[in-house]
Amino acid sequence: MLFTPHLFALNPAGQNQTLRKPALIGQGICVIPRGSCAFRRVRLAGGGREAKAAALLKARNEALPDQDGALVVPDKSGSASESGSPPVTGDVVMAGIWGYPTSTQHPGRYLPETLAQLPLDNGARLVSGLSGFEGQIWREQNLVASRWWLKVPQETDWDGFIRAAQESLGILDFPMPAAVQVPWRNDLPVFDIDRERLMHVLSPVNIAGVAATAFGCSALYFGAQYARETVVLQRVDTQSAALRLETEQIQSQRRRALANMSYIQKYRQLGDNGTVLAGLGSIAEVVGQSDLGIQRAALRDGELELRLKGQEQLSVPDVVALLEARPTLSSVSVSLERLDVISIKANVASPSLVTPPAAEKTDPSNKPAEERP
Amino acid sequence: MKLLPADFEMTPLVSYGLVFIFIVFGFLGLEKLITAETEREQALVFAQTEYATLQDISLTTHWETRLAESVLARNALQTEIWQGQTGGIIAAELQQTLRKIAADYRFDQIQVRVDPDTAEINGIQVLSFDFSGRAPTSKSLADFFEGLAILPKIIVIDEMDFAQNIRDRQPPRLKISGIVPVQVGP
Repeated sequence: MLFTPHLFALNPAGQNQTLRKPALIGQGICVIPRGSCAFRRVRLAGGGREAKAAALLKARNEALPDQDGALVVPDKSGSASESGSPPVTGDVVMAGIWGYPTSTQHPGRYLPETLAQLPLDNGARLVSGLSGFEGQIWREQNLVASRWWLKVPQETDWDGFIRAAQESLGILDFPMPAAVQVPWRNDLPVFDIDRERLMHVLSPVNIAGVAATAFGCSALYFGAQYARETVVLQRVDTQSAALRLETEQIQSQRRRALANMSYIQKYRQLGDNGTVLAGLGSIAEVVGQSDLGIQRAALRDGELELRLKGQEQLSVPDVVALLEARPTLSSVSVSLERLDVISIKANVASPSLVTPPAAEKTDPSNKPAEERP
Repeated sequence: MKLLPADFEMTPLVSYGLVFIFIVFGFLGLEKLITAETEREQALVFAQTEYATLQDISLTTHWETRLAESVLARNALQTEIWQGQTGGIIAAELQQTLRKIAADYRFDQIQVRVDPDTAEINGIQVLSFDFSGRAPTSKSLADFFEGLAILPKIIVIDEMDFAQNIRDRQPPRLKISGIVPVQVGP
């Protein structure tokens, strides 16, 4: 599984000892051997969040010096309490409180060994753990009593455990079982963070710190960019100013030349005397050899339409190809209305926009050179 | 009065509120900085482009020639623009010119209408006109347009219609409408 948590334990040398092979992105859970954990049962008044927080606070206050981690595991809803009656909302709820040591090597998630193993529905068992043996009594998947031994307990040890459990759980009849090894749970939450830790992570100070860091880094980056660009801009401005002085005369000439060319171009775009003639001339050059007479000629929105009547039948594709080759004509369409009548439509452009400006009526040497960008 | 650490304690709500205000101000400040940086970057790009253009210009030597050419071309264009003290004077001159060309090519029933009020197209002052006349032959059509083309002044034809009606015994009628660029004033 991609997100299956990685179970590991820390050996006395502080090295990671993998208990279950790590998944690709699984959250690491440090499993604390039962021998290092403390377990007791408490009553949570009301069973609410506050009660759980209060129990946690009390557990931390009463914890052994080395057990700085604490975990409250309320009994599952609907399960029987020690007194045999089910917990009711607002009523007293039983919970197991775990105390365990944490390590600076692993700032993340911890789990007592007992909780990392598959639970028992009901009954008692003797579990062979990471270090030592643990007697467990379960009721509806809630661990209600636990005791740890370094070696396999004697019958008398087990009897003592059962007797101690009877004080709160009532009459029990569990003969000492053989020690078993219990597999690790596969249904551990992929990601887990308790409310207290979440509140700590999302504390105003932390949020302000993260925001300040983000703002600081961004401000530093953009500020540096701004400073760099300012320096470069000043340098370029200085160079430009010097160059501007050097090229003042050329610039003036360039400005005036461009203004003149723009002025001329504006008039050229208006149109030209020769537009219609150029269109007629282009068509006449192509179909000129035939004995054709104009029946109709029209110009609208730059489209020239001619209807010619003649004796000879013309090849339409050839005529289209020849007309399209003329620079003043575009989008040519030719159709034979009758054998002796040909209709031509073409967009006609002003000759001044096709040929270089001023070439029509001025000396070619006066033609302005092409404008540079 | 000495302030104790307890004096600075605040409720979580106040803390989160302060953090929120801090983040809002942080965003505003950062946005301002980013805007300033973007503007500076654009200014730099503009300055670099200008510098490159100046460098390019400094290496060229042809602008003097181009200016002279453009002045000649502009002067030549000036002579192609219809000029007169008033729009009416130019209109009369245009009407006379069109009539003369049409008459030269033996057009009949010549009608010319020129609007003496100038209009403006792309910053150019223009007069609009309509012409109609009967051409003796279809060849006269090409001759007429040739006559217009060789005019030293600009005449732009917007629309043209020339039709030979087979039922009409009269010569074909040519109708054109167009504009001429003008310069009104002394």
